[in-house]
Amino acid sequence: MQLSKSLLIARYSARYSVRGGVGLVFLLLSLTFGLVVANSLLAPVEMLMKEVSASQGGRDNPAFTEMVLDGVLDQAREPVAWLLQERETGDADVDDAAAEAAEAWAEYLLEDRPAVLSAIFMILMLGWPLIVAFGAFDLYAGDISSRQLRYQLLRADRSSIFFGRLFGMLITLTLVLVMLGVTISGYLAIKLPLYDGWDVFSWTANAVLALAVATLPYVGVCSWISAAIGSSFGALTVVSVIIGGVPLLAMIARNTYEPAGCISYVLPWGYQLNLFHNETSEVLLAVALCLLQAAFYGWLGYRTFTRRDL
Amino acid sequence: MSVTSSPSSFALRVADLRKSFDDTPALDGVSFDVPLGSVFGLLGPNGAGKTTLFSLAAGFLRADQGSIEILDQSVSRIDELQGRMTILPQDAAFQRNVPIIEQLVFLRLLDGQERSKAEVEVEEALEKVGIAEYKKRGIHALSHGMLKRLGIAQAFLGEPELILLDEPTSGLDPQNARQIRDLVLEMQRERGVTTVISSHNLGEIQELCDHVAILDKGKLKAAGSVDAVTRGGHMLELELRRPLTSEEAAAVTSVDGVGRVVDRGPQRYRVEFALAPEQSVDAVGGAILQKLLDCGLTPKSMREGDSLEETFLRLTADGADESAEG
Repeated sequence: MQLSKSLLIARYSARYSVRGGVGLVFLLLSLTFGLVVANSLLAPVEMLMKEVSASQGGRDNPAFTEMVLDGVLDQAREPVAWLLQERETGDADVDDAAAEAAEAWAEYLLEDRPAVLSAIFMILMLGWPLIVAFGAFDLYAGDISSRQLRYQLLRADRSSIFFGRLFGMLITLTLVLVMLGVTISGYLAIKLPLYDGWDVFSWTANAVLALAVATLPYVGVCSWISAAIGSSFGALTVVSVIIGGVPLLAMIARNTYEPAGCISYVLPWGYQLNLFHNETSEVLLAVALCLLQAAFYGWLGYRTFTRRDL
Repeated sequence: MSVTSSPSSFALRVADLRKSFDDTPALDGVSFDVPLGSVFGLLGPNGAGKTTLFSLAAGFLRADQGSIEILDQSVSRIDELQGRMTILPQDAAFQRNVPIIEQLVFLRLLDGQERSKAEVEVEEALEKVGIAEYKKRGIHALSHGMLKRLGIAQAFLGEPELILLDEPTSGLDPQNARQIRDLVLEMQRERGVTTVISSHNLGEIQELCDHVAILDKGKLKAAGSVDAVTRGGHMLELELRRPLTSEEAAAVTSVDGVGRVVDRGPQRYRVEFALAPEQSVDAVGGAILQKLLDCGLTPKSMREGDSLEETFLRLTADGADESAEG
């Protein structure tokens, strides 16, 4: 691979990725999804602020912020608890330890960090993989079918083209995540100034980074499928079925045979929320798994792309 | 068709090349050489395997068997040929949403050129093929012929030593086709560039190329210099203003070195040679011309060998097979 060519291709891909119809739809879809999730959690907080403001005779009351934050905690506790719930194993000691750990984690997300942001980012983490599928399914497939790559193939080696496009896609996805993070935290800072600015900024940066890391394996899967199926529609279908199907299959399988739920670990679905964990070791483990899976699926994509007819 | 030669004599060497698609052979044991600095024509009816051969040579497709050497480099290491070979693929598309100039500049940047120089080169290339005024537009603004010219401009970018052009003039009007042919000859003359062209226009190939290969149903029917393939040195094709009388035909046949005269239709004759080792084609041709002038006949045309079209039709008729070297 020639790094200079890869970077050139990455920059070119990132620059023109949103010009096409699919790119624009992806951008709109991701921003809409992010903002809808944010709105669904921020709107009740706004309502709460109005209610508290009315009952306490305005926002100048020193108890105002504290009361709103208590209300927010109550609102955010339910979705966060649902997201962190552990299934019972039947072993009382294990279940107790798990419940205790989950409680500490929930406390970290709700009290040590801005609770609303925690809830928003955790829900984003659940929907984001499907958005990634829509953004990255056409990494190679469309240009393989239209044979656009043929103009580049005598000027750059296949490795540079493969990794250049992959980097370009990661740059685009990261920029979209940063835009989402800035929009959500900016809105929160302006409209609902409940939290300390630094807390909001640092937790948003942390969450954007977590989402970016979780994105890697899904992009790896997209690179593999997109390189293997030289048809945009085919790639979109297969990528969506795989990324969306894994958690669905795991859920169904778990209900019939508990250990079968481990299918969710084929992709980061099984552990991606750990990227928001209170224990550093859990976060590092999740990061390591993401990188490992990204490398594995990326390697499959690379192998397919460099060996196939283009 | 084995040729012994120094490694640098050939721009492209194809040996026992085989490629199938779903058990249908597209190329079946094809071998030939393209001399360095030549303009080489690749001929064949639709489905003969020309585009497959180009795609294999450019590394787009992987061969099932056989080898291709390009500029002394195996095609399996095509990465090392970057900048030395370009191609006009027959069926490749440009990006729809990116200005033409940006797409070509990007390709030159991949070649390692600086942006400012790349922009100048691209503008010159677009100028050469007559679409410079569309440089800031997308490909939706271009007609089929213009798209073809854009592909050719892309192939002429940089300083390639070998250019593969898959049907470069199909869909072009006569003026533009002539312009492209002139550009190919200019690159050969001024920079010694080797060009391999596939085309259905046999007149164009005969005018442009010094070497040809003829493919049919994935098999090589003939390869070599145009003279060798069209049996130059073996016959003369005559076109006269009136038919020969039997006495005049006998007079031509009596020329030393002439085997027989074949009547090929109204006022057209093939004079087949039976040259002794010391006889030259020029001398026998001169004697035939003199004999005709003595009979009061000035030929409308006199051509050594078959036309490429006749050779092509003869070789691609079912079961025909022939090899040539030269």
